[in-house]
Amino acid sequence: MLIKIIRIIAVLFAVTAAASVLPRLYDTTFSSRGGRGHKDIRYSEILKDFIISEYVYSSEKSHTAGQTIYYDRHGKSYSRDSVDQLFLLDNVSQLAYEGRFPDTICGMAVTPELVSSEAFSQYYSAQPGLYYGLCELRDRKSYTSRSLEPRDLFRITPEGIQFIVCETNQIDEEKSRRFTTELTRLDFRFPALRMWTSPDKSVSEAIGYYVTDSKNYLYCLSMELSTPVVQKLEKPDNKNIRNVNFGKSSDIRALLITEDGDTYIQHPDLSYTRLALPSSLGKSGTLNGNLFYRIFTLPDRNRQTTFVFDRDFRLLDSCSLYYSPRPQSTAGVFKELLLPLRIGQTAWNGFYADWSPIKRFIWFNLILTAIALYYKRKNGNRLSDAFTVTDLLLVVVFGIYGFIGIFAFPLKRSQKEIVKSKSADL
Amino acid sequence: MTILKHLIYKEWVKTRWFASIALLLNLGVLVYIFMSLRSSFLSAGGVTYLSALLTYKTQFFSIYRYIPLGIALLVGISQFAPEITDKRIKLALHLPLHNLRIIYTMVVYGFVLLALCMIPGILIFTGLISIYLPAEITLPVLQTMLPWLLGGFCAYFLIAMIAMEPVWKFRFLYLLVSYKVLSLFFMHLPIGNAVSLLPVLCLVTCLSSIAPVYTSYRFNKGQL
Repeated sequence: MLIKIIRIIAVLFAVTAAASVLPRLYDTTFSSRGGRGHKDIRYSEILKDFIISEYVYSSEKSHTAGQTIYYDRHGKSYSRDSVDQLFLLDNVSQLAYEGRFPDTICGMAVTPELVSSEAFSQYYSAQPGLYYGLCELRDRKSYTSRSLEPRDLFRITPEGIQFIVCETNQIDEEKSRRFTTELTRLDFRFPALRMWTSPDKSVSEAIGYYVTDSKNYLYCLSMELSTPVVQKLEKPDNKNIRNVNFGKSSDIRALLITEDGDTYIQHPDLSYTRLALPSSLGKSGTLNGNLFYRIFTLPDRNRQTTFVFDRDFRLLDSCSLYYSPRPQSTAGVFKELLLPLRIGQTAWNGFYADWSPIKRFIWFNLILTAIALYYKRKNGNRLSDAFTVTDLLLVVVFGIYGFIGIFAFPLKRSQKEIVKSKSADL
Repeated sequence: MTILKHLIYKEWVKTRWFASIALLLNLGVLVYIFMSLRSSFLSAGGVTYLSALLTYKTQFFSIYRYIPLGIALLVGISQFAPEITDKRIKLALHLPLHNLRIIYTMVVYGFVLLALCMIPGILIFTGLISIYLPAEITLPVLQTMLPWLLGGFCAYFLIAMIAMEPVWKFRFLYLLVSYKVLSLFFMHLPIGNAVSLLPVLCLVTCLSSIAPVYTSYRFNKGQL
């Protein structure tokens, strides 16, 4: 019995291994992607609508060529030249070089310098990054004198803040006491749950750290001329903070994701605006800004959604772009039939297990089960045995993976079954 | 009890030199990593070095990644290769003890030997790096190394499983499955990022520890 249970575990291991290896092996051997390639979506300030670009492959006389096609949500096609004129803000350098950059866009007087200075792009995430609990605090005046750059790292323990002198790995008692006193004065409850700062050195120096204390209150901690500067901040709609991303433009101090997945913009005056975005929990996205818009893109499995906001963060439009979830090519259809399950890992989604539609693979799985049943009968395995039935069920569910698994780890017949089959032979 | 002692002595005779090499290899690599860390720390300066570690999350100990796997190969092959040559393990399996007990005496012996080869080095390494690195970095470093250590133990159990399989075609299949299972333990993750994966890896290691029971049973019964 124990041996048979161990065998089932081993078969499941084999199924997992095969489901992660075979689909990739298949993809490298046959292209199951179909005749369409990379897709992208952009918002035209001229059309006030989205334009989708897609790289399309075509095969003629065994020669594969590709070209980019452009179309909008209603299926209207655009030529390459007309598209260039619809994205003036994106093509500012090229248009200025060719002397074709207009004086006004949408009734606003513009210059290439103004457009360039307003453009930015940044990633943001609802998932907090790796957190060691140890940070470096840069002085606000570091840019004027290198002597004010950090000479230590700090942590916030249940007893208070501790600055560690890096060279000796010892605690700077005097500096620690000064900062602990200042934090205590503002009712900070030790220890800190989490601290965030900007990866941008100048922003990190200017703002310092956003810190949540043990009661989930939000503080801003920075340092000026070696003295602590601490400020207690309001939380957006009094919600607990899940992650903080610092902004790259002058109108966004920070992007805060709350524990319920809502996204808030914190303005330079520390006021908040809630964005009309779906829950960001477990997601990472991009924020692109230009003279007129703030554009958020949230990727998901097989699709991405782009949300366009005006400069006051009012939602103007949104559009989802789907990446053909169903295969277009013959190789893709066969992949779904032969390999019903794909196990893998992506940076966005962590571990995943993707099943093909059941109607695509079930008949093939039943054929494999019939073959497995034939061999089981031939080897004298009885159908009344629970482990024989389990084997067959594994083939029905996992198809070729289960088939490989049960033959890689063959099922031993019981002594009773062997005796019975021998007596039947006699 | 005497039989078990003899069994353990037999295992010791087979593995002692390979285990000594494994122990020295482990200590040598860990001391080298520490010397390298010390040199970088002193030449770059504490703040710069720690700041770079925190920002880029570089694995200054990445050279250690496959050492536990190498140690498992040394111990596992030295222990099981002589047994499967001419099917000598059949002699041990005919001793007046339950087969499961005999197999697990061998497997537990190998597991303890593997632990003795790896754990002292890791403890010394932890003590040494704690001189220069604060606990907030030392702990993630150990968390990052733990999957590799577990990978070593898991590899050892899988070697035992493969070694005791009587049929070559199945050995090849187990090798493929083992490769995929072990690749889980050696993913390239930043320092401290493996924490959420650790329970899964512990479970896989525990499950792999019972795998030799299945193949040794087939070996003993001569099942093809």
